[in-house]
Parts: sequence; C-alpha cells; structure tokens
Amino acid sequence: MANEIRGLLAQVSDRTELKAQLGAMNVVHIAEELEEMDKPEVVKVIRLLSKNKAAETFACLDSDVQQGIIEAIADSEIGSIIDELFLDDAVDFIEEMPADVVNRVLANVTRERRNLINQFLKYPEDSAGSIMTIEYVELKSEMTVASAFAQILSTGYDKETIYTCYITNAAKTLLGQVSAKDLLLSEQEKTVGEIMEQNVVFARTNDDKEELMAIFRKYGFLAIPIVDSEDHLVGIVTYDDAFTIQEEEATEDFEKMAAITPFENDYLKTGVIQLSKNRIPWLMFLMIFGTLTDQLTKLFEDSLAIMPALVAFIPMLMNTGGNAGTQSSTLIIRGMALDEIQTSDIGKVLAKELFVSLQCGIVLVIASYVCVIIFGEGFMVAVTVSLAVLATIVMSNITGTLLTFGARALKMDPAIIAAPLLTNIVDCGALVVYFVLAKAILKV
Amino acid sequence: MANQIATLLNEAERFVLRKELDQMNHVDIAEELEELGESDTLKVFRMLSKDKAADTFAYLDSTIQQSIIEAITDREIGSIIDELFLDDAVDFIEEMPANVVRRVLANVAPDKRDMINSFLKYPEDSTGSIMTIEFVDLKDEMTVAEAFARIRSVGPNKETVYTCYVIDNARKLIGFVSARTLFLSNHDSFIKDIMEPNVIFARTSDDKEDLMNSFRKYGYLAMPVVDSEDRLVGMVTFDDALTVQEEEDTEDFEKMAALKPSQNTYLKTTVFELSKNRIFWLLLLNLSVFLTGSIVAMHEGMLAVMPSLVAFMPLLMDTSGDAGSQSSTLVIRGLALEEIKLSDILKVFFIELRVALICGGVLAVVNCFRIMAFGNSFPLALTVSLSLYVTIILSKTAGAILPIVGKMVNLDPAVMAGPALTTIVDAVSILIYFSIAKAILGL
Repeated sequence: MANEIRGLLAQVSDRTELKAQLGAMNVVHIAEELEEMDKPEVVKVIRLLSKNKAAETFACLDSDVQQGIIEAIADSEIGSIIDELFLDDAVDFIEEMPADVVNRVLANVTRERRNLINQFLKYPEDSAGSIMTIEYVELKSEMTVASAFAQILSTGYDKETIYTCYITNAAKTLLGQVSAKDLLLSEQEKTVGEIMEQNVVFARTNDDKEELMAIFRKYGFLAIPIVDSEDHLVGIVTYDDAFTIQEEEATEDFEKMAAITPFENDYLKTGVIQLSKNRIPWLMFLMIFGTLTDQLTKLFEDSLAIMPALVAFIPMLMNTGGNAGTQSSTLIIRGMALDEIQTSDIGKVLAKELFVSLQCGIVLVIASYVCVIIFGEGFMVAVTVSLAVLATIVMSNITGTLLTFGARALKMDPAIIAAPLLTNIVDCGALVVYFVLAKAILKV
Repeated sequence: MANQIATLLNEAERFVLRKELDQMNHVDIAEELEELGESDTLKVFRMLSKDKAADTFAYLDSTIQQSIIEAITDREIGSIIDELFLDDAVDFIEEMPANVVRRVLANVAPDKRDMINSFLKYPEDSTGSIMTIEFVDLKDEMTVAEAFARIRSVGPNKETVYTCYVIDNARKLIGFVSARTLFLSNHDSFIKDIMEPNVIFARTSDDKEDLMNSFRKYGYLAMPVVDSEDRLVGMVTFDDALTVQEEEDTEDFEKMAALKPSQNTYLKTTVFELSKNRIFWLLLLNLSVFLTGSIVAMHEGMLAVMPSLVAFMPLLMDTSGDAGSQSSTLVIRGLALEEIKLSDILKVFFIELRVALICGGVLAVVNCFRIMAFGNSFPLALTVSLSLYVTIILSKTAGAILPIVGKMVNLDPAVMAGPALTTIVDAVSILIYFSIAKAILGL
C-alpha cells in the first residue's frame, strides 16, 4: 500500500487544502502511515491536524513515535494534545514514557488533569481502575428524557461513549443505567428514573481485568461502569478496550504455555536481547529439571546394554506422552480461561480424561504394535512397547488434568505450571513405566 | 450463586417470580434456566414477555433450545423465532436436527423463512454467516429530523441504532453516521453533509478472521457488510466480533496442541468426540517418531560401546522442542494479529537466529558444567552441549520459518508449527547428536 499522506505532502502545497484532505482521513489510517514516516514529517502532519484529530491520532500511535513527537513540539502544543486525549489514553501514553518526558508532559497540562492522571497511575497494573476512563455521561433519576438529551448535547462532545448513560444520586452512588436507544424511544416527559435499568452489572476499581473481560463476554455490553469501594461511580470501561484485553490475555496464555515470560511489545519491535531474556530462564529451568530424566535413564543402563533395541523406542514414548498431556492440559487451561470449567468440575474432567486416554490409547497400542513388528523386533518387545504406550497416555492425560487443577487450586496460573512443566514430568513417567515393563516382560 | 429462579419457583411465588424475571438480565435468566429441569424451564420460559423470551432463548444452549421447541405449540414457535434477531435465529437453526428445522421453518413468517434460507447458504467462517440484517439504513437526502423519525420507528427491532448506514437508491453503501453525530447536529442538516463517507466495510465472502482484524484495528461498534455489487446487506456488531475472536484464539490453542478444533465447550463434548479430535494427530505423530527411532536403531553399535549416550537423548529432544515452540508460538501469534507479515520472513529469521545464538550459548555452557558435575568426562559433556547448541539454533529458526512458509502456501500456521515442528526437530536433533558423538568421541 502506498503512503497516502506522503503523496499528499508532495503534491498539495496549499495548507488549507492539505488540512481538508487530512481531515477526511480515518485516524487509524493516519497513525498507520505516520509510523512509516520520518520525525520532521510526522510533526508537520500532526500540526496540520485539527486539535481533536491530532489527539485521536496521537492515541493510536506507537509509544516511540509518541515520544518523538512530544520531544519535538512546544510546551503549549503538548498541553493542547494531552488535554484533548481521553484520560485512559493519556494514562496509557504516560506509562510508557521515560521520566523526563513525563515531567515535561505533566508540567504542561491543566492542574485538574494532572491530579487525575496521577491518581490513575496509582491503580495497580491489570486492575479495572488502571484501564477505565472518566469520560462517561452521568444523569440524575429525576431528570426528564428531554433534559437528559439536553445534558448529553451539552457534554457529549467530550465523552468516550454517550450510548450508555449512568444514573447516580447526590453522593455519586450508582443507581442505574439507561441506553441512548431507550432514551430515544421514550416519551420526552418521562423521567430517567422511570425508564432506567436498576439491575446494573458493574466492576470495582481493584477487580482484575480478566473479571471485566468475563462480564463483556457474558453480557455483550457496550460499556461497564466501575465503582470504588464505597459504590461511587468513578469510571467506565468501553467495548473497544475489551478487544484489547482479550487479545492481550490470549497472547499471554500462548506465551506462558510455550514457556516464555510474557512481554508487552509487538514481536518485531522487541529487541533480540529482550526476546532472549524472556526465554532463557524457562529453558534453563526445564533443562535442569531434565537432569532427572538423565539420571533415570542411567539407572536402567544395564538393561539397555543387554537389549540396545529398547533405546529406539524411547523418543516415541516420550513424544506420545508429551503430546497427549498437552492436548488435555490445553483444553482444560482454555476452558478455565473462558470460565467454562470451574475448580469443582475436577471429578468430571478426570473421568472424561481417563476414558479419552483409554480410547486413544487403544488405537495407538495397535499402531505401535504393528510398527515395532515391522521394525523387525520380536513379539515380546512389541508387547512391552505397546503396553508402555497405553500406560504413558493414561498417565499423561491424568497428570495434565491434575497439574492444571492443582495450579488453579493453589491460585497459580495454570498456563505457566501445566504446559511447560508437564512435558518434563510426563517424560520421566514414561521412562519409568517403560523400563519397569521391560524388566517385567523381557526380564532384562 | 444460588439459583434465584429455582428458589422462587419452589416457593410457588408466581407473582414475585414474574416481577423478578422482568427485572433480571436475560443472560442471567438463561444461565439459571440451564440448571432447571425441562418442565420447570418451560414453565418459567412461558412467564417471560415475548421480547424477553426471545432474548433469553438466544442465550440458551442448543440442547435446551431444542427441548423447548419440542414442547411448545406451533404458534409459540412462530412468535419466538420471529422475535429473534436474524443472526441468532440462523445460529439456532444450524444446530437443530432436520425435523426440528422443518417445524420451525413451517411456523415463521414467509419473509423470515426466505431470509433464513439465504443466510444458511453462506459458507461457514464467512462474514455472511455471522452478520445480521437488523441495521438502520438512512438515505443521504434525509434531514437529521427525518433520520430520528426513522430510528424511532424502526429502532426497537434493530440490533444497534448507534451506527446508521447511509445508502443510495440502488442500496449501495455510501457512508455512515453515528447516533452521536446525529444528536450533536442541527435538526435540519442533511445526512449527506454530516455523514462519514470514508466507510470501512466487509464483504459477505470475507473470512471471519479478516473481519476480526478490522474490528481490532478500528475499534468500531459495528461493521457494515456488502455483497459483491457493493450493496449493503448486513452488519456485524462488536459483541459477535468478541465471540469470533474468542473462537479463533481457542482454535489456535487447539491446533498448536495437535487437536482438531471443536465447536462445543469441553464439558459438553462427549468422550467419543474428544477422543476423535485427538486421535488423528496422536497417531500421525506417534508413527512419525518411528523415524527418530530408526535413526537411533541405525546407531545401535555406538550405543553398545557407550551406553551413557542414551541418558542425554531425552534432554536434547525436550530442550530443542521447548526452544522451537517458543519461537513458533510467538510467530504464529504475531501472524494471527497481523503484527508479522509474510514479507517479514527474513527479518524474523535473523531475529530468531540471534536469539538462538544467545539462548543456545548460555544453555550449552551451563549444560556442560551440569553434565560434568554428575561425574561424566569432558568430551562427553562437550558432545552433548555442542549438540544442544546446534539443535537449539535449528529448532528456533525452523520454528520461526515454518509458520510463515505454511501461511505462504495456504496451510494453517498453527498446525504447521505446533505438531509438525516437534517431529522434525526430534529426528534432526538425534541425527546431529550421533554425528557429533562420532566426530568427538571417535566412536
């Protein structure tokens, strides 16, 4: 895709015309194209945008581009952009900046804004408070529909959403909510109190964002009101944040299950050192843990010396166990993440996994038996290997289940505990089962 | 959480229950109904207002939906289905057995029946199959006041009134206008003057994933859907998009764990179905590891001379597998979120190469000391560590490249990299191990 803005800058010399053309563009597109451009060009374009559009574009930019802009523009310009940002975008931006930039930004915004930003920066990471915004429409229950509209008209420009309005009393306690659709379809003289929904689903500032996500997923709301410990309405989180949270949570789970410490940035924007740092501890831990496997194998060195053919089937056993265990734990971890599986379901899940492993095991037993025979090994070796496959699969599925539930019960993240650790535990188990069976059946 | 409905039902407080039901959110009603018996479900369901009954119905599980449909009269069926949003009706019908479908279709209004039939024809996973038709369309020559009049008259039956689409006389999509803009505009301005002509849309034939990427990128409340002639035919709202994203993520999780994706939740899938989804990959992987086995068998002579070599095979296979899946997971996720494009293949390759050099180096050194600490000779420790280094480099670069290549030739990156990778890496790591052992230990 060609860069539209670069084309405009080259062709159109008239400032007013340039402004008009840029004004017609979508802010997400502008941000996307700006990220490919040089700093002086970016600053030039930002200055050509209307105050409103400049702020919206700014919110969509990457933090390194944001920093570049802030460093290049005048103090008064900083104030006008940051004051125009929605509070949640401003907080997101400030969290990514180095201290000197933060100081300069905070020195140039209005005082009340500065206080709000400081207050928001105090909410713990990943809490509802840290991602909420305060630009919501607040109504009173005794207002008529007509006066509610008047209120929306006078304040709506600066609100993140006007489609769900919240009703509070004089103490700011949340009483109910009303959608713009209901307001629109009701008679003008009715009061807001009559048409509002009293049964409001809300979250608290210290709730984890995963809990917020569960509400969005369940009810499909446009926005969720956030209240403080005294039930006072303090902010809202809107549906577009839900997309971001869901994406981040899933990415985190993917990373943990692949034994990577989760990180915030895009892959291509993360440095090689950072990428390595996120992986080494896990690889190291798993490798050290693997010492156990080494030592186990050593214990049975004598058997292997008598019958070296047994070694050929070790990789197969280990892999099959790892694969089967990962299948179980992945389904359970995902089910837990989406609230489909509760801790109390452990009995049901165990029973299921047991039967599944028996069914899968039997098919694999037959296949392995045939393969070993084709390999040219005798009947007894084939029986040993096949039985070991069955035992390994059953053990892996059960271990996968127990580890996931165990992690959950201990309030640890199942994705971290179950996925990477599982393979290693299952490997040890598979080896022990194999050697014990070999000793018993083949008398080695 | 106690089941409010069950409690009130047991106390035979019909009047209180009816009032309570009126206040409750339909999602909560559906959740509680799923715990009740069939006859109780039906009893409560009939107490709901027409509107609420349809909303609740859409949130019920398909087994419960089916039992309700089988228990109620033809007239009731008609009134529920006609009240459902079209996308919910289509979702419901897709899950029903043929006889139920016939009975349902026989009892809905003819125009609804035609719509349902045409929606059932959209390919699975296409935008057409998840869109709904309950959008508000406006004409560009309307005034804001006329637009409000239209929203008031059609609004109650629309899935959202907050984004309205502007069409010309040939039903071509020419712009959109948000309710916010309408609110904040003069009542006698024309729609064509306040609408946003720069409209982002999807086509009925687009894959759901493309639709999802647009939602993520633009953060819109709803996305209009047009047919091949650019005529507005539907809309997808953000709540459906959230569901799609969740399904896509789950599918990727499943594929990477060598599972055939399934539609139902874990607890509702039968044991047989669960086994069926796993056995194919298990079997394929099981058979392919015999390749590794035959490599080992070929070197049996070496193992007889130096049996301690066997002890480090698991370590090599595991570590290289872990290292490979770290890389492939990041790349697959990056591809799914469009952070990594196909043209980035070389960039990704070099990043992973350097990461592998760092990670592999650190691990190899630690590993060398670890092996010697357990009383093994330096040449043996060197052999294992060197093999480890080489296999980590190989598995990391292969893990990064395989998903991208998979995507280039239209194979699913998640499948390519998850299950296929382990098998390849295993065989190669064992081969490397024996070759290095031969060279260093002179076996």
